[in-house]
Amino acid sequence: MAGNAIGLGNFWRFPYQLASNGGGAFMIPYFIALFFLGIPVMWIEWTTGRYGGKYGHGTIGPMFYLMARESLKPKTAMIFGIIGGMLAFSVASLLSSYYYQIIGWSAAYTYYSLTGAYFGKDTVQFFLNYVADTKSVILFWGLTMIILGIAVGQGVSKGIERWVKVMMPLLYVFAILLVIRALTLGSPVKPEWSAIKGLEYIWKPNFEVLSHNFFKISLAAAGQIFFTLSLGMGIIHNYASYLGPEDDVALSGLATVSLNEFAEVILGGSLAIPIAFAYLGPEQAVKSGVGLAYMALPNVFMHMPGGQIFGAMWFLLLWFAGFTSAIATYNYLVAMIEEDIHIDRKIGTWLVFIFLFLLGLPVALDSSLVYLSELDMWVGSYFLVLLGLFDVIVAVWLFKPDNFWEELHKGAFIKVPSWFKPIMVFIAPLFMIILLGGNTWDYYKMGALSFHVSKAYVEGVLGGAYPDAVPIVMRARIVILVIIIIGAIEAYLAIKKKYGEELAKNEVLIKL
Amino acid sequence: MDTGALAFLVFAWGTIFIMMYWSITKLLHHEKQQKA
Repeated sequence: MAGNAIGLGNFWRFPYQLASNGGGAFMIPYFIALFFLGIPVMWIEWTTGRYGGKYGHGTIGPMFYLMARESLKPKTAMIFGIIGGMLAFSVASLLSSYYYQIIGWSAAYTYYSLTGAYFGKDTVQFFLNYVADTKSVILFWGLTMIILGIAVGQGVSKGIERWVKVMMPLLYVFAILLVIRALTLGSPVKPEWSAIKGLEYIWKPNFEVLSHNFFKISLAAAGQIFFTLSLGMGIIHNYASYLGPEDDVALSGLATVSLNEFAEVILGGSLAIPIAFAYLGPEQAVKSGVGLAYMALPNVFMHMPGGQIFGAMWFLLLWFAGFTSAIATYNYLVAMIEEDIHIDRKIGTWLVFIFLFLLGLPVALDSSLVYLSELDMWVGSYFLVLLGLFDVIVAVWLFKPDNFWEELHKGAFIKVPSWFKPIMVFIAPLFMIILLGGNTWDYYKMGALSFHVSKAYVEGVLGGAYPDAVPIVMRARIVILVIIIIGAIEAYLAIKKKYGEELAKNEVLIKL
Repeated sequence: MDTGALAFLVFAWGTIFIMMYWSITKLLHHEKQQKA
């Protein structure tokens, strides 16, 4: 599970979200969200997954249906199953369409490090040239997707697990060495640019910036917590469904969170931003956006002995970290096809491949990265938190808080303090409702939700050029809408297939 | 480095270290017990 949780979210997404949301202003809501959302929702998802697994389900739609019917009639419970299944399908599909591209960037940078392609060059321009070179982007992304397809199709998860045991500790060791190097860089370009200034930017609490952009920064922080812990995606539910009914989820969930936070806050937070502050300067570091890690880190490799080998090793490990997480989302979609349409795993794998390739093509062809940023804004921030909210509504409220508490503690190695119960029942959902509501209001005022999106949104949030980027935003939104509709239909059919009889009679018939 | 920033860093890193050490050692201990 930790191999899945530790991924590009720690080393790619966290630094750029942190940089573009005010550094020290971001860290305050980040830790609040970790405590009030990350840990509770992690426990909820482990518990839901293990419960669904008892009935033989690995996807959210039927899991939510089963839990919701504890309080509701089957026909009404199905609505919650459809919402959960729809959101999980949308996240798994849309997230894969851009997350695999980032893994492809790591594959490309492994090759470019080995050949020394960026050595002695302006790393910002090198990155921009790379994303504009669609042939290279498609080549490295396509290669990554083919390897993913082969891995998922052959069901080689056991083989991958063995690799994870070697590669993950290696990633930690490499990251620790790089952090030491990054923090001892001094001021290699200008006396006023230094890695320590970068660290200060992250850790100096900035209440002024936070108060001016409270909902935007808070939702970005909550979104990052969900993204990095793989919450609100259906992945944790899916993995936990393979557990036995008496296997521990309480301590395992907490251990997953702490391992991931070590990789993210201590390692991920001490690399890209401090390095970017030392080599590119504060202004460029803050406005680099999604490419930050790929613009910053090559500067260290090109100035160190054996930099080509170390650079290649680092990006290969990053590729692997992304790859192990990507298997989970890919596998979720294949499991869905296998479970619901009874299509052979190998054929299902390549059907999903074609689907994800078509979905990812607009991301690969957009060198402005506006399409990617728009998808990441909706999926990475909005949908994950929304699914987290439904996690609480279904698994805690509708399943009933006492039932949930009992289910969480079945076979548990620790007793969760009872004061955590009100956090799960009231504070976590209220927190998510306020964030989603407040942020929607902010975006509405900014003109992000109108048919013709505003200049402030395109330039300020997506980092694109106005009005050229407007059609790209529209295309991304149409794709999101289509995927949501497909997800809803899929979830409806999945629930109806197994529970058709009890839905027709509108009373519970199947109960373990 | 700014004192406030340093204090925040030490507090955050320390808490994460403690949480990681405690949860992993406890998990390994229980798994060892279960196997035995």
